[in-house]
Amino acid sequence: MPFKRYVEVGRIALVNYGKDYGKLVVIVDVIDQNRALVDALDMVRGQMNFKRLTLTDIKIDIKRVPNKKTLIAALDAADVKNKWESSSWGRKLIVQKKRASLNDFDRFKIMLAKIKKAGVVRQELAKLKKETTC
Amino acid sequence: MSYKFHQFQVVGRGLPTESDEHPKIYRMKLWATNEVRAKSKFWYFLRKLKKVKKSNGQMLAINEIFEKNPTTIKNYGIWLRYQSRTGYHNMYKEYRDTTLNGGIEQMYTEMASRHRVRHHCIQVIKTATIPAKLCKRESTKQFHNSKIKFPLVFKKVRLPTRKLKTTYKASRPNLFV
Repeated sequence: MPFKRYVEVGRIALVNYGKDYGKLVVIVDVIDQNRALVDALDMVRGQMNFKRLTLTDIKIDIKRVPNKKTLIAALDAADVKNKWESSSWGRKLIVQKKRASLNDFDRFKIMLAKIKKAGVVRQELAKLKKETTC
Repeated sequence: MSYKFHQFQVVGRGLPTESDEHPKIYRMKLWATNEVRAKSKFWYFLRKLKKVKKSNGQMLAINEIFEKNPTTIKNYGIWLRYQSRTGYHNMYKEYRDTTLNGGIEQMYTEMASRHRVRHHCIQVIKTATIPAKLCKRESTKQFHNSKIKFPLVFKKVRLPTRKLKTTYKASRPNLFV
């Protein structure tokens, strides 16, 4: 089982601790064994410890330490946002966020939808059961 | 990023006397945790260099020096003089960091861990930003690679906030990536 996700210039990582929790950042340079220079659309370029980052599968093509304009252009060219939101990991995070931001009325609506869905599934199951027993 | 050690520029001179109306003004750049300590350090060093003390001298200016480009990585070379259990030694150390204050802080913590030297036994002689070609230490030179690539082995999964911390867990952690 070799490694597939490497720390390299252009690797997209997810911040999993601290002030910028949940943000997608680009590794723009490596300071030393434990820290990387990291940049994102809405933050000043700064250093971050690898312990705060989880590497993703997405990698963009940039040179070491690009300026903000080239970084944004490269992010758009590689379509990072859509790739992330269509990946299963990205989708799970969106669902988690949605669930956490529900109000009581939304939860009521979800309850009704769940009951309806369960009812439809149970009808189909009853039909299948009838066919196999008869 | 808050650093413990701040860099100060301290300017002072001896008090003017009848024999010396305009004494020479001396300026020092040093590292201290706060301004008060910086002023004290200034007089400590000046006493060793010139015949002047805090009681017959005056402080003219003290300013904090901030990093010009805290978003670029630089290689810092630090020359220091430290006191070990057996005597004084000189040392040259290299660090890779975004700011000089960060490099100095790395130096203090490394001296404390590797040589058991407390911070009051260390005197910084000189610091410089070293271009990559002139770095001497292998541990900094190994990061001078524009196509650097390495995997993160042993990824310990941490809770996003300390509030969610638990002493006991249901299963052993998965450390692979």
